Amino acid sequence: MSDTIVDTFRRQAHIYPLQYNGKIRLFYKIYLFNFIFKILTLGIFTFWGTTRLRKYIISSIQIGEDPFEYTGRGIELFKGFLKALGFFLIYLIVIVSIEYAGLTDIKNIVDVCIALLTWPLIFIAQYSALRYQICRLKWRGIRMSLGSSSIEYARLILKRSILDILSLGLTTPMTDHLITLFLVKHFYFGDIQATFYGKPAELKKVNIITVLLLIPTLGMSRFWYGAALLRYRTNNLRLGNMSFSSDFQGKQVFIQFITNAVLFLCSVGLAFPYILHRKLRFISQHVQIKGDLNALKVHQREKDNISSAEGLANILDADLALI
Amino acid sequence: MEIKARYYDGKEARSFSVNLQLQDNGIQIFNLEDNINSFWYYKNIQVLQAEKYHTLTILSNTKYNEARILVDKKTFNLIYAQMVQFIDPKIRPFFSSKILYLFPFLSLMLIACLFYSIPNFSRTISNHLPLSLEIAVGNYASRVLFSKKELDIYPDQQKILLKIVNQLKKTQNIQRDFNVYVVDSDESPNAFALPNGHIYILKSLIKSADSPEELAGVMAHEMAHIIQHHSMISLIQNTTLSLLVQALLGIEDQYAQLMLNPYNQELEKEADELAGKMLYLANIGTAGLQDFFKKLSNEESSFLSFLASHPSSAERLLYLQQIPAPKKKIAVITKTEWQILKKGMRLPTRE
Repeated sequence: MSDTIVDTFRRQAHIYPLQYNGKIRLFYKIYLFNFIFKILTLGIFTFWGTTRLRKYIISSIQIGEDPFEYTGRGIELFKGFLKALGFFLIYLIVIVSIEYAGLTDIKNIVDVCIALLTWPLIFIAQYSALRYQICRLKWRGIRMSLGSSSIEYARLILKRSILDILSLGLTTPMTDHLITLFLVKHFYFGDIQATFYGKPAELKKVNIITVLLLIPTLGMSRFWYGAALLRYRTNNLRLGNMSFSSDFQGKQVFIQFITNAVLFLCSVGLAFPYILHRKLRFISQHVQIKGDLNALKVHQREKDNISSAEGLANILDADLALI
Repeated sequence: MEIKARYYDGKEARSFSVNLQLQDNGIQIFNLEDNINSFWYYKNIQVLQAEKYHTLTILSNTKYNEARILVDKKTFNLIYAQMVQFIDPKIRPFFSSKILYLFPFLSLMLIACLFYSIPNFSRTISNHLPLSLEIAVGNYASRVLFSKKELDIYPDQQKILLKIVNQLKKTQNIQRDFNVYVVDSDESPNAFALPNGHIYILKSLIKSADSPEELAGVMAHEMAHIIQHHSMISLIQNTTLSLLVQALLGIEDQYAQLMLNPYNQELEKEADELAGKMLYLANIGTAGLQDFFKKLSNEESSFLSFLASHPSSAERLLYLQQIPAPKKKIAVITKTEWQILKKGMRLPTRE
C-alpha cells in the first residue's frame, strides 16, 4: 500500500504519527550560522542562536497537519543567564574573601556546604529549564504549561536517588513512576490536565532482569529498561481524548545511542546537528497519537508567567530540557 | 479573491478550514459552518514562520496574539503582494537581519574596549590598592614557593646583594623594605620579584654574571617591578583577560596566555626604563645590564617574538644604549664582596 492510503486509513482510525519534517541541510545552516555568530559576539549570541534552533526543530514537528510552535525568545534566556550569573558571582566573592582572610577552616566547611547545595540546585535548574520550554510550546495556537515548583521536583529526585542507591536499583520502577506522575500531574495543554494510568509493576520484571545483567553486559542492559520506560510513559499518558503509544525496543535504543556516540566522537562534535536530527527522526518514527483531533475540547488557559528560567541550568550545565 | 487556508482562533484547540478574502486593507477570514468571521488588517500581520524553512507560512496578528493563519507558498505570495504596500513585513522566524549585521560590529567594539580598558583599569586599581594587600599577596606566594630553610643557604651572599639593593633604593624616594634571597638552583639564569618586596635571584644567574654591575642591573629591574606594582597589575589584568578569553572563546589556558603576553611585554619595558634611571642616578650605569642582555640575545630566537612574555633582548639593549653613562661611576661592591659572592656559588647545589 502506498503511504497516502496508509495515512488515509490512519486518519479514519484517528491514529496520527508524530511527524518530523526537519531537513538536515537547513539544520546545518542554522547550526553553523549560530556557531560563527557565537564566536563573533563572544558567546552573547548563544541565547538567540539556541532560540533559533529550537524554533526550527519544534516547528518541524507536527501532529496531523498542525505543527508545533515555540514562542521563546533569546532575550529571556539572556536575562535568566544574567540572574544566575549574579548568584554565581556572590559565591565567588564569598570564597575569595574567605581565602583572602586566611580562614582556611571555614573555607573547607563552606566548600562542603556549597557542594551539598549544588546537588539539589542541579535538579532545580533542570526542572526550571524544562518548565520554561514547555510553557513556550503551542499547538494549534494553544499554550502548554508545566506547573509546580522546581524545589518539589528536586526533593523528589533527591529522595529517588537515595532510595535507588540504597535498594541497588530495585526501587527504580517505583521512583520512575513517581517522577512521571509528578511531571504529568502538572502538565497542561490549554485547560486540560494530562493524566497517567501506569502501574509500576509493569516495569518490575524488566528492571530486575536488566539490573542482574548489569555487570555481565557492562551496563548495556539498562537500554532495555530505558526503552521499556519510554513505552510505559507514552502508552499510559492521556490528554483529554488523546492517547499516545510508542514501540521503542531496547535493541533500537541501544543501536541509536551507540551510533550517535560513535558519530559524535569520530566527527569531533561536528556531527552534532546530524545526531540531533537522527534522534528526532527516531522518536517520531516510534510515537503515535490516537484520538479524534477534530473533537478536542481544549481551551486556552490564562497566561503563565514563566520567563527567564534557564540561566541556572546554563551555569550548572544541567540539561533535562527538551532540546 | 477567495483562497483556502487553515486557521487557529487561539481560543480552542481546533484547526479550522477557512476562506480568505484579500481586500484593500486586510484579510477577511470566514467560515460560515463554524461561525468564524474575522478581519485582519495588513499592518497588524506578522510572519512567524517563513515557508523557505517549512512547507507552510504561519501568520499572526498583533491584535489577536494567539490566533494563526497557515498558508502555502502560493497563497502567501498573494497576501505578501498586498501586505507590502502597507508595511515592510519582517520575516521573523528567527532573527531580524539588520540586527545580525550589527552584532559583529558591536562585538568587535566590545573586544577592543575590553582589551584596551582592562590593562588601564588594572593599573588604576593596583595603584590604589593598600600596600598591606600587596605585601599579603607576596607573603602568601613566598610561603607557597619556598620554605624558610631553602632561603637561608646563602646568608652572606644575600647581605651583599641587599647592599646593592639599598644603594639603588636611595635613588628613589621609597619607604618600603626590600629583601634579597638567593635560590639554590642551577636552572636557567633567572630572577623574579614578589609584591612584598622580596627579590629572588637564582644561583645560576650569579654564577653566570661577569661583573657586579650586571647583578646590579638585574636587581634594579626587579626592584622596578616592585616599585611600579607590576605584580598586582599583572594579576588583575591577566586573570580578568584570561577568564574572558577562555569563557568566551573556549580556548585553553596556555593559548589564552599567549594572547596576553604582549601586555606583559609593556610591563617589562616599563621596568627597564625605571631600572635604567635608577642605575644612572646611582652612578652605576647600564653597561652591566647591557652585557646581560647581550648574553641573552645570543640564545633567543626572534621568531614570533611579539608573542613572548618579554620584549626581545635586542630591543631592550637598544633602549639601554640610549641612556648616557654616569659622569662619575662608582663601584657597586668591593672586590672582596664580589669574590665572596662568586665563591659561594661554587658550592654544589643541594638536592
